[in-house]
Amino acid sequence: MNRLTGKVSSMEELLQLIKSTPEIMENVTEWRTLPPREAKYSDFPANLRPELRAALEEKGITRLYTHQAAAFEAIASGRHVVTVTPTASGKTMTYNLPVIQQLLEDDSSRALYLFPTKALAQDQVAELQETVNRMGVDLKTHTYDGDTPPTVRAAIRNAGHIVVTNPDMLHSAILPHHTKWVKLFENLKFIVIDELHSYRGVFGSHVANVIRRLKRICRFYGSNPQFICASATIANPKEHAEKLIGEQVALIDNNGAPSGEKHFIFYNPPVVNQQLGIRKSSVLETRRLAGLLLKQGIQTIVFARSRVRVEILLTYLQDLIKNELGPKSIRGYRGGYLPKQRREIERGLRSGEIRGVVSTNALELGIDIGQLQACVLNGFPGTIARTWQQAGRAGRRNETAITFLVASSNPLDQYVIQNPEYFFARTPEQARIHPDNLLILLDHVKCAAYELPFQAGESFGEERLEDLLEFLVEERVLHQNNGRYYWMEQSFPANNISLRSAAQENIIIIDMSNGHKVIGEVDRFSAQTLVHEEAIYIHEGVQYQVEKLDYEEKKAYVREVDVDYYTDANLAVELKVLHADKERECGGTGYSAHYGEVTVNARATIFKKIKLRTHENIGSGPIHLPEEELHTSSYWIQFPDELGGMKTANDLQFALLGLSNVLIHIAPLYLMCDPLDIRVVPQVKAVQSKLPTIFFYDRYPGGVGLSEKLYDLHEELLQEARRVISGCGCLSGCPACVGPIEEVGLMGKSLALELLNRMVGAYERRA
Amino acid sequence: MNGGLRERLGRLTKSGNAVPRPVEPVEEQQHEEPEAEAWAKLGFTLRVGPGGACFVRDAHFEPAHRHGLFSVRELAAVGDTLQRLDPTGRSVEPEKLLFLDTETTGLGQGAGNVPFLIGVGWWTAGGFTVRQYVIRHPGEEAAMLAMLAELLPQFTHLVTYNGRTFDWPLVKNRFVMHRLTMPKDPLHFDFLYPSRALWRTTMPSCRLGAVEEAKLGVIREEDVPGSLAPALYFQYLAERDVTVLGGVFQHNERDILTLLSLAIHFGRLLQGGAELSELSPAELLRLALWYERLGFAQEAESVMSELASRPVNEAVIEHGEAAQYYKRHKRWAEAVRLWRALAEYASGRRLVSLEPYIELSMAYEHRLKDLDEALYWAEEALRSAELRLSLSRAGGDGKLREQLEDIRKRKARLMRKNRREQLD
Repeated sequence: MNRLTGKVSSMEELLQLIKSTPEIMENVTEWRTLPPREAKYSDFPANLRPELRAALEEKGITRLYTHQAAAFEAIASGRHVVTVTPTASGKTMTYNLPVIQQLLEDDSSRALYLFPTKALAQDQVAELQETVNRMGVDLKTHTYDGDTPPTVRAAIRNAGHIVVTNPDMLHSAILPHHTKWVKLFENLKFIVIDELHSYRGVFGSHVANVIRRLKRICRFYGSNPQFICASATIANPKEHAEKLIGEQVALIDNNGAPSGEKHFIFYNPPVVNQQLGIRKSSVLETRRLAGLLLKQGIQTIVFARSRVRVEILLTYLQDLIKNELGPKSIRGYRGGYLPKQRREIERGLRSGEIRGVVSTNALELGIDIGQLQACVLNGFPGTIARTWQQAGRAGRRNETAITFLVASSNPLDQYVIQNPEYFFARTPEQARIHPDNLLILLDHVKCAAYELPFQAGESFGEERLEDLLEFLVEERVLHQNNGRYYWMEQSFPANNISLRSAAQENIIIIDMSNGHKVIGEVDRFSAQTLVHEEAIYIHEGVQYQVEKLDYEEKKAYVREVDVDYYTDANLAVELKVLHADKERECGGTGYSAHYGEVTVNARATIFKKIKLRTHENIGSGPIHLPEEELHTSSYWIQFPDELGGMKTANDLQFALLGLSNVLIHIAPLYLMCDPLDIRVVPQVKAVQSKLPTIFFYDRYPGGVGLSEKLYDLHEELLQEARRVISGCGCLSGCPACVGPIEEVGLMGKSLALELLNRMVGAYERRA
Repeated sequence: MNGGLRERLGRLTKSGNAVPRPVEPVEEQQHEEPEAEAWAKLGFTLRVGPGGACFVRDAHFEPAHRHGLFSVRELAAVGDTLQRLDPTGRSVEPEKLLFLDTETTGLGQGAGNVPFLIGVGWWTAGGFTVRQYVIRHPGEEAAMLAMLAELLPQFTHLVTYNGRTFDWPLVKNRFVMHRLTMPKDPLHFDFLYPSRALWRTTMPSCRLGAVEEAKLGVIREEDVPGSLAPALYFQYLAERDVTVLGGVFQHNERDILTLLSLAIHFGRLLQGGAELSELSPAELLRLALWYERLGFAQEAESVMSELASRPVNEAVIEHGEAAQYYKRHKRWAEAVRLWRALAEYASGRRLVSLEPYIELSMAYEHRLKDLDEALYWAEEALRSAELRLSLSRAGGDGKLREQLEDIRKRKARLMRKNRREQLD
């Protein structure tokens, strides 16, 4: 300990300090120490070009990690490759080496790199350029994105050896203008896709289609490029890569990179009300732990699950350490900040000027912020894969790193924190995409037809292409002639198709406190609950009140305010079954599981004002916004009409609600998805069947396969729900299981459990 | 599952009717005859080339044919002056100019934008010919392109309006789309550029339609605007009735004739054929600057002197520019005369430009070596700048402050210099 500053002088001292603080230790439910890993090396491949070898040696690299060498070999043998390694394991070398090797051998070769964001692409070019410069060869590496000045675009198209871009740019600028990229497409040898795991869900489904289009254009120009993919740890890297690129791949997972000792600490906030099962706020506990680390001078990253959480925590932390550090040394980071602001924060983190950052999952990708010393997770990030990835942000090579997982009272968190083996022993989740979602597929068939006429007999995706083409002919989008389908429309289809969001139009947020200034944006679906009139919108720790939401013009006008509450909106949902594709009945018991298509109508109804720090409800107001309609896929559980034990409709309602609460919280464990991607609606009397029903639906038009997966897991889900409820220590319902008693009533827990017991019992008897 | 695919598509896309619209069966055999007749009526014949067949129409215009102010034969007289528009200075033979304009199915340069009509025009001693290639469906595009590729080598220059960024790159895209050998880039006169140079400041728009009406005396009645062409073509594709395209063909033909007129107009301007007394100061300025840029020094000179002779109160901005022209050519007497007139005009007015004062001060100091005059104009500049600053909002604008600072420095330096000179 440094006597003058009172700060610890090493991570070891910090660990000691934590261990000798009873107020922390009494809430620690698990302390895992992951031993350091020794590096495993392989020699340079024999055929490695001497220039390349010299450049590496100059940088102090005299051999490769095992996974880097293995990737090199597999690529040399002509296979498509996916490499899976943890954060900071030198994975960029797995693709840069073979690509540069090829370019040195044949100067006319070309490579295309895809990163999910512009920021990552720019990082990558800087690093590549450095390597190339050290070799003193003339290899041109360029980013091609929305920021590329028009004057240099032509040069990049013709002469760039490595073009670094993102899927959105590929989709809307490169592919539709492929005739300008003849040089690239004729000579394309490699397509590099980094951060493969981030291409999942709706976004991934779109990207898989963009890649289908890319391959189609390559075939047209006679090239047949090799794919080199890199992914963070997920359960199904090979399967995911194969589905994304539509090719067989070789999996490289023999990670040879070293890492320092890691301490993973599970922290469960103390119960403050035994009867109600209410725990101390995870936000306040996160503040305490992160505050301790920051005060000790430890560079720390805090991950929170929502934008609002990020802003609240940022406010708290800036306040807490204002005497030790300036407000600029702790920053927020999330979607909705402008790019310039983000670059500044990234730089500050790398240089060490910024000592702490509170972020949403926006920073879990490979954006270069260097390695930090400690990580605090406010709430379980939703999936095991994500948790490892976020925790991977802490850990400098050969230095001890520490990660706190602070559980909230939601059931998923409580489940994880009370079952450490589940987290430490289980493989991380699968990344899932559904490229043949009909709407997504149709969008990309249009784009593909624009790029190149379809020929009869061609295939694109798993659905019958012919039917899609005929449909588009009827819609007078395509013109069919002599077995070919031509784009015949004035519009430019890629313009109307966004890869990122169901709601294509974003609503921009304009601060009117001092002139007019755009401070951020939200998608339309989120706008209903985030920027309705009177909402408190928090941006970089500053509160703004929404004065006017112009839904037509897609603008929200806000003004800076200073109030001691935030707002939280309710969404009312109606649901109608259109068509059932699959159903399984439990032999005459009346319980059944279904999968099919539904229409969902959602409308924000009221908002609540919630006091900061105490989180009490201090008021509410109505929201007047038009209804949003969604056609999507759904999985639903139907119950028999006569349910003994449920004396009243109220009882039944509480039982269904309690059960829904549990199920929706454990569902994301089985689906590697954002918890917001899947929604639940319990109904005592479903509109059509008049039977008690719990509906789950994908929050994306047409569905992205989440509900279908849940349908397959039906029995397992029920078992798990029963285990969670009966294993929970509360008396009659708490936020960690069926929900608080204010929501599900005094009998909610026992009613839900009884309903489950009957149903599971019925299944067991049948089996 | 597949039986339901249509239904699902209908529902998801809200296309209004989930039941597929019946597509009228196109009975090729029955359509073939009346269709050919309709094309023939519009003057088209089916021509077979190396890449297949498409419809072609040649329209011939006698040398005496008038399009607006000019008759087509006048092109013959301007060839050698048009040459000056070409930075490479290659000689221009009127017979080697290929006028080109396309009609397309959409906007932009994307791979899905198809030219369904390529119109070209050329001059021979016998008159002017407009040839239009039209495709009945995208499958005929390759045939059309192959015919164009055959024609192109006979010409040295393309003449277009916005063809440098639109028509020509688009045509080249199409060659790539069909993996055809790309024609060599001809030299290219894109008349949008000189039109902008000449008329940007005096016309609300430099669209071809606006230019032909204002400058070439071309009045079109019953014209189908180019923006409707895609929709009409789609209608033709759906209904196979070529008469709906009649207006588009005519529009394209007229555009090509207008290109020809524009070539004559520019050619005559380059021969000094403009009636200067009829031009406004703004038009004179643009014309003089255009001459200057193309290296027509003498023509530029005479237009500038016409401009300088106009009353200053009608041409404040233009005289400032004219003075800059004389400055570039180190014609100090003319430049100073204009600046003095501007300064005189400005006296007693508020918020005038500081430029004449500063220019005068510099010219007298460095060129005419008259320090007293230089100092006088520096003081005038300072006075005017201070007045201006006092009128601008509190805080003022930073640029003005900077300027003011520069003028102060200039004045101080002139005073030092002046003193030294008096001491010598």
